[in-house]
Amino acid sequence: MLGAPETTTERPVGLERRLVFRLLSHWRTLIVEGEGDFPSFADVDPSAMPDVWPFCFVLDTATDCADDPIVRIAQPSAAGLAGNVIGKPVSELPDATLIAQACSYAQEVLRKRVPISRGGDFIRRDGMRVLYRSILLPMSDDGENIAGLLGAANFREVKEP
Amino acid sequence: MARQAQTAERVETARPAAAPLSSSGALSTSYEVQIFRDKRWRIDSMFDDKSLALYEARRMNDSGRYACVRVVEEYFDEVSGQTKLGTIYRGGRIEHARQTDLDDAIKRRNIKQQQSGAEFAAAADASAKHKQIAESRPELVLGIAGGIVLLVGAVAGALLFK
Repeated sequence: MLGAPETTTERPVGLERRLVFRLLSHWRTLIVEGEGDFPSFADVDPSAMPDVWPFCFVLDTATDCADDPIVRIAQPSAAGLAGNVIGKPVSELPDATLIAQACSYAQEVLRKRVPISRGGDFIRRDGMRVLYRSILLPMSDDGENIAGLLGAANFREVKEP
Repeated sequence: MARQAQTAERVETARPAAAPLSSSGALSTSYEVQIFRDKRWRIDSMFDDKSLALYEARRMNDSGRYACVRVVEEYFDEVSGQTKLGTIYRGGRIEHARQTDLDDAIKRRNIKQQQSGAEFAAAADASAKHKQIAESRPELVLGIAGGIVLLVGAVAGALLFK
């Protein structure tokens, strides 16, 4: 999970500032009319969302792991965090971490079959309070059965007196 | 990238999200952005934050791609075990048309009330004039009668002293 450079980068007027809304908008554009309610992972083009992709990860819910999705980090550059969690089921993610928070409602997304965004805060090891916002989006290869979840999360530090 | 990796490494410990959770782990309050499609309301997306849900609904509404958008607040009362629902936002072209009709109806009602008020005022004015005339009649009658009496008296006096 990464910081939030979009808060410091100047953006064109009219472009959505928040990460979750940018990804949600992109997710909607991938839905093909008449081909189900969900886009396919095959349609995801990282180069089409270079400002969002570094914050993304994937939960694999295919085959026998639907009840406990396996985390796959989509962005190799997130190795600082990804190295510890790639291939692990959500239930085995390190407790009280951002990735665990961001994946904690995966079952609800699978049950309701809609994008869900949640946020919160946590205290880092150095005592710094961090606010985060995350989103999980259902993906499908056939437009009907959910094959996995596309997720994203970012955070910012809050300096408390 | 180096900054990203650095910040990622610093994310170590976490505490539960600030939003209230029920015993089942589900949020006690959630906000559903719903769209009307295929003759029914469908959940488009869900948020734990009211302002974000409203923002997204307004954004979708302004895009013009959706016939009708609304935000439903879903509150789970852990004491009673009941779920309470409430619509906190309505948007879309249908709602816009409905609001336009409502505004027109309000304008028509106001105009009617103003017209009724003017008619009432005119009627009250006419009534007041009639009343004034009616009240002034006895004086007129008495005046005329007095004049007649004086005239008759003068004629009678003239005849007697002739």
